[in-house]
Amino acid sequence: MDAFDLSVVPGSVHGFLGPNGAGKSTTIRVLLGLYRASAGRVRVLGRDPARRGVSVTKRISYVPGEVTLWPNLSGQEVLDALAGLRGARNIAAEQRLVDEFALDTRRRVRTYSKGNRQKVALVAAFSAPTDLLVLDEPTSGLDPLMEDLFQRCVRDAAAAGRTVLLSSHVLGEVEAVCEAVTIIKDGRLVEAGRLADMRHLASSTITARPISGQAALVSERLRGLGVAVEIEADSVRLSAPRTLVPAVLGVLAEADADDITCTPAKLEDLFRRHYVAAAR
Amino acid sequence: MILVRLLIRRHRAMLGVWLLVLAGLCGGTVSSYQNTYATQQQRRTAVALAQDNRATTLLYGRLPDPGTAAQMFAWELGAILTVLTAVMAVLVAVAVTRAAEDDGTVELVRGCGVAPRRPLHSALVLLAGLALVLGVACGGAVGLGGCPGGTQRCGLRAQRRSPGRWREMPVNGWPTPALQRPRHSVRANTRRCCSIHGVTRMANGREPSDSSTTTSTSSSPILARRTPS
Repeated sequence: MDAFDLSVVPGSVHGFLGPNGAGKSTTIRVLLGLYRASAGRVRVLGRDPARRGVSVTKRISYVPGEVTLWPNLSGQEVLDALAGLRGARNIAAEQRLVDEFALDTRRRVRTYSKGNRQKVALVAAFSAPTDLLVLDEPTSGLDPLMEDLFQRCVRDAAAAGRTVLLSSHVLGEVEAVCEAVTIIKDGRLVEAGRLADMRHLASSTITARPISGQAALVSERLRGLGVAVEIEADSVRLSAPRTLVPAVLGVLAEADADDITCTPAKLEDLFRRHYVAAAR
Repeated sequence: MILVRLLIRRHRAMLGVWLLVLAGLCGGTVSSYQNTYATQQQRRTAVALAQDNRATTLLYGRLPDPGTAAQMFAWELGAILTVLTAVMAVLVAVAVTRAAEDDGTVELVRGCGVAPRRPLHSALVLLAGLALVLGVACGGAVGLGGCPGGTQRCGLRAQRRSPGRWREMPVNGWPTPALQRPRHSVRANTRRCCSIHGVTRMANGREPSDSSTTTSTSSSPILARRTPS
């Protein structure tokens, strides 16, 4: 890790993105005091996790990227053990989450699939009375239905005033729940900020189908606005910065074009350029 | 304490099997020596065989005279038990420390507000407890397993209480060997044969003399035990 800065606003849901091997899990372990940073300053909930690890982790719910539980214990026993180790528990919330996640806690962990082990960790994390949730790719292995439930749990946690740091590869998920994101690559900060601001800087994609024969004319007028236009068969496709979108749409409406679509930049477009494969 | 309980819960099968096997070995051996070498002459032959055998001396040390069942037990099983206990200690120590770190359960535990050193402390507490339980179990097993056949100590006590009855009472068809041995301290015997590991013994220059061995053909006391002359 080098030249890296991550700050999470209390009570917000913060996305933490980056390609494999970028240093997401390493960062998270430093935040939990599992790794000691050789340089730099780390403060979690106002404290240094390397020196006052216990007082920090007592207030954190952590879901590791690779959830390993004790194979010969039942799901309920694992939940009991984790709550016992923490010394604080909200049984009502735990029971509600177990029901919602449709988790059979009587079965032994060894019979659980990856998704079920993930659910045990998520139930323990969300039900624990903590201020900060650190989730390291928590939805890997969950089915789409459970992913929806997970997103709801994250929103509920944020609504309850808890802070969530969500490391993820699923861009749709980050887009759906996060207010701000930090992108990391090769241990360095690439981009950070509020999602709305980042989107604002990115281009929207606009497609339209001008009246037949007018595609060339329309594209000529669009180029006059300063945007690059592609012509595909009888339709035009272009990528315009936010500031130019009204003007572009005005030109298309004037030309009586059909099927006009305007798609704001997706998180995926923002990130794709950072996700250039680099062997790590 | 929760972490120690969790470790026990996690590894109860392994811990249970080790304790059972080691305590079982202790419990079964004394009486099996007593039954195998029922008469003094049988035992003398076996002792002579074992004392003249360099291989067994290297492995277990020299079997001291007079070679009572208790001495044989401490001589042979003492070494085997030491090795097995060491193997158990290594396997259990790895399972409760490195293996837990490796599979990620320590990370999960540390994420629950557990101090960095507590997983290691708990592992040490478990190992210390295991050693204690193993010691008690082996001691108990020797006491229980030895008594019916009449270990020296039990035999002597019984003899002091009611010598007449014990002298007449054969166990498994054999007279109790403890009653036939000279009456000197069992403790001293045990102490002597507890420090008889081959290397120290041979380093002290007290390896068995190479005098003409007329009976020694078998290299193992176990083999010798099966064919008492």
